[in-house]
Amino acid sequence: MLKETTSLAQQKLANYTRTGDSTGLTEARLERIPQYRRLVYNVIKDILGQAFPITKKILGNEDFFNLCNDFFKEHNCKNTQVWKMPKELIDYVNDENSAYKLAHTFLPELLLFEWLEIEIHTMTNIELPKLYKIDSIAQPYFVNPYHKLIVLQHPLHNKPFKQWNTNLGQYPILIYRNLRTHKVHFEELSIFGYLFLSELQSNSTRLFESTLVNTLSAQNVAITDAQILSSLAWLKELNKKGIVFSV
Amino acid sequence: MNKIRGVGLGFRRDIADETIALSKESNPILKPDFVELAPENWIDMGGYWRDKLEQIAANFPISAHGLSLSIGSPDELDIPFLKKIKSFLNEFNIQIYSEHLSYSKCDNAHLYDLLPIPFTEDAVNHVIERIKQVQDILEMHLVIENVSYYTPLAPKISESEFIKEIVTRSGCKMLLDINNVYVNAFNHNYNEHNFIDNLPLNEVAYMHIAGHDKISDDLIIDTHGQPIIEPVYDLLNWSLPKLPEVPILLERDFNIPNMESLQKEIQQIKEITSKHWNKIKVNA
Ligand SMILES: [Fe+2]
Repeated sequence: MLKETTSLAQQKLANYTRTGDSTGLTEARLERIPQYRRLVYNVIKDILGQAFPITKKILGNEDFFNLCNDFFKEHNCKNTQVWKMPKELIDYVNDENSAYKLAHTFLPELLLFEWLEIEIHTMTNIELPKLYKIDSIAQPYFVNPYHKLIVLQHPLHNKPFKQWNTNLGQYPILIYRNLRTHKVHFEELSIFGYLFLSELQSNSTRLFESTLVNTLSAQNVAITDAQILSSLAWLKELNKKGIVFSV
Repeated sequence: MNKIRGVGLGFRRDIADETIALSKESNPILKPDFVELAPENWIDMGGYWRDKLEQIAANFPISAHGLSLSIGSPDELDIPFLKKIKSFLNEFNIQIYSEHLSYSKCDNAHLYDLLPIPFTEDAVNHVIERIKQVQDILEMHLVIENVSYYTPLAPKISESEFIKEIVTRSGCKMLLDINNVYVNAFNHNYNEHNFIDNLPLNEVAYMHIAGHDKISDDLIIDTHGQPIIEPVYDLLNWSLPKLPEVPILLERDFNIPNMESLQKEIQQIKEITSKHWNKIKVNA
């Protein structure tokens, strides 16, 4: 068992590196402890700066580093793997009391948008079935597993920063990793495209046709031959981009 | 591809391709015999970096040097994390898993840096219990590294006594980091030779060597961001006759130079080891 004096000294040093408050930290060389605080924050700022370069640029170094400081001081980082830690900044900013969210309404969405690129780039590999070209909607299908579908409210993927707050809307986006090159790509979607891909993910029959029927009937759209043809053309497009395959 | 011997190089993303390419190096004295990686940086990783990991694993034996175990923490050991480590070590047939004699998590928060454990008897007992727990789970020796530190924290015994007690009583092995000895001896004003002589040298199973940054007249920071300096090579040379023949790893984490410069450092380490350890000479 650790004596209370031992664990307390450890807690005080750890707390000092996070907060800068050295109260009660007596049995240490006080002129040296700022090195620990500097080293710890260097890691945090580096990792967060690399994960969120757009956020850093938009907030500017000073505000971004203040955000890093407040985050690390107030939030207990849970991840044993430091490269996964940036995701925790999103939760921190999403807190309803977050002053950062109030000051910058786009911030949670921008952080998520930047994080998803990393998340998809690093997603754990899984075993894939043999994949084929799409020729008809009667085929069973397979969706590239390394992807995320999101609907942004700010057009941060295609408009300059100044227009984000004045162009609020619904912007469905697919972010996915190419199976061969491992590069991450962004694909703007129509609402129909978004719903159809969401249905493809969840439909247990894994048949294009029933998925298409489900999506269209959920929107009260009549299923016509023209509709099916244009959906097939779109599927072939997605197939070429490596998003959907037949199996 | 699992026997670790000779002189190794840290496998870092910034130099992943250059390191993989070293498998084709024809001059053995300029070629690392193994690579070391931090399992935390590779566990769960897919896509591009998983490919690089598989490429390096196909060409070099790997040793693992962990970052997040936090063996000296007042917090509970993270058992699910240890199980992930175990399956990673198994997957890549890794026979050496080392960690730092420090803590990096406290009050449920990871700090992602290495803080000094108080040199006290109760901390010794605490760490011993945890090392045994880790070894039971991993079913292998844990190799524990002497870390560099910038302040002692509430110490009651000496640093070497602290390390020796832990290593001998827990049954773990020791990673002797020569640069850390040099850095600590300078920063805390003690004699590096006496310090090494007081360590459990028979239990040393692995070594590190690296460069550092002297930031003031009385302070060196262990950055792994510079070439190894001559006095650290000298300390290596002085230590080797006292040690069993073990693998030695060149650590370089920041300010990474071109591969030729790193290869020159590997060469210099190999030249020193070959003076003392025949097998490495044969291997090289
Ligand atoms: Fe080391």
